[in-house]
Amino acid sequence: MKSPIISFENITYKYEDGTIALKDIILSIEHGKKIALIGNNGAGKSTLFLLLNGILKPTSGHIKYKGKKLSYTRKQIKHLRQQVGIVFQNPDTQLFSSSVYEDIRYGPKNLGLSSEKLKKTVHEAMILTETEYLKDKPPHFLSIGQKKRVTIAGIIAMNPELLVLDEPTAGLDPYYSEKVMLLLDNIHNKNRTVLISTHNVNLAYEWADEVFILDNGKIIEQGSPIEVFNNLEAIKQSHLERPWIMDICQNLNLLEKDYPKSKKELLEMMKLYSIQKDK
Amino acid sequence: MLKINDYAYISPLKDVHPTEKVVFALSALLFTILTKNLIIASITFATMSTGIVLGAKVPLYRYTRLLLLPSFFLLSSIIAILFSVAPIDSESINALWKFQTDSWQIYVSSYSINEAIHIVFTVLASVSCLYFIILTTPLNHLIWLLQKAHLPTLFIELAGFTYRFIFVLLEKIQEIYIAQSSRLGYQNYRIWLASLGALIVSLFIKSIRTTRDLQIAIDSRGGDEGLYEVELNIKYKQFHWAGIIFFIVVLLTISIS
Repeated sequence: MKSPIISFENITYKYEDGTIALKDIILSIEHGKKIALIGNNGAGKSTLFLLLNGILKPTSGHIKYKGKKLSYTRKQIKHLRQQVGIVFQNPDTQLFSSSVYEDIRYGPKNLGLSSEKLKKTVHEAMILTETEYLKDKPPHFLSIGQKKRVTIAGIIAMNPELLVLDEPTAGLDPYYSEKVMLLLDNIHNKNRTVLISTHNVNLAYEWADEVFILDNGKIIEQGSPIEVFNNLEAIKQSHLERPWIMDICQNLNLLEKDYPKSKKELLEMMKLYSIQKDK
Repeated sequence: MLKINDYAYISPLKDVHPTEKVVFALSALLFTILTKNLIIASITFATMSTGIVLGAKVPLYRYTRLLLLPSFFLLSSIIAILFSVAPIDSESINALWKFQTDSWQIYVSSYSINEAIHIVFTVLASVSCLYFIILTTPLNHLIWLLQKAHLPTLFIELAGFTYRFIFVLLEKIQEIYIAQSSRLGYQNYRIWLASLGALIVSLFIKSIRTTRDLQIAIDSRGGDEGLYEVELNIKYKQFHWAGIIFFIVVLLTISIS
């Protein structure tokens, strides 16, 4: 078995003013997963992300990258930041170049790719995110949905093994939210893990195959979405709700086998159920 | 990194009346500058530093670093004061150290050393007074005070906005810097330069856009003039005033004697 991409061993992070952002976190991120990190505001999500690509150093504990302890040498940091790409919540801070094309090129260019390879990589990232027609526009002319896709393109162009997105659907209308989530499905493959943070339990339930709940700097529950959302105490503690699909199934006593994964599956199940009843 | 105005908001001294703090710090500043007395400067520096570190609970190493901030200006002026240049044939008195070339001489006199020492003490003491105000008084309290002093509204609002936006700008710089570092910016000299350029340009664009948005927000909330309407619910304490008067009397006696 491959060793996880990144694992946290008893990570604690304390801010300068004494606030403890993360307490004794144990966590491992495997290859090829779709992970949703759920937590309310101020739970420590952003701190956790900045630890993942070595911007912050833990106060205590250590981080292992592919089984090796991180020592924060220049070379290692460079490698880590290529392999762990972060799409920040506010696209405005991430788009700092003067055109969309240049912004997407920034990361791979810093990797030192040849100009031909660079062109190809950027082009592929633009095709995948449908941003090619925006190529020559300055970032501040774009709508939020477009900005979001450009920021994702900028990270994909670096071809990371772990793609981290902070609230990828925040501020987007339902159409663009769905588009972004579809894009994440396309990007995800058996070698690349996609990790998102979200407040939206329904989205986490439908999309993820692994869920972490972060509450007040601690991971209070982790596992498959069904396992996690069946832990009512953890959900209550972190001020969350159960996904509506699970609630409906339980209320209508529809549960014979497993919880349906999406609205479509639920509707099929209900249809089947009513046919059986008629007989 | 905690920014200096954050300390003001969490400082235990923030609930002390701003007039008391400002009168306290400014009277010390006045004595320091007017008398140029080493003892007064030392007392002022010691009192203010104690107030900042023990009273306002600013970590000592942060305070030391803040003090180093003006040291660049201090150092450059000290060098200019310490060394004097004169033609070789002029008679220099009391030169403690001398360096001669063909027709010029550079020398340090005991007078200039004395002058330099006075400047170092005065500057450090004055800076500590201002830090005392900045690190213990939140912006809105300062604005309240400026309003009580009947300064023009335009001046007060400009001061308020400028002070506030310094920290907004710093925050933005930090955010962009993190985003750039995450995509391998600043890795070598060339990338460092390109990244810095991108940061400055985007900061300009973002500043202009933020200002425009802010103006729209102010206009939509009907804020034509008099943006700051500060209410203060802090009471004067006799005990504090007694302390301040005692402090002034001490400084006065020293400067007279």
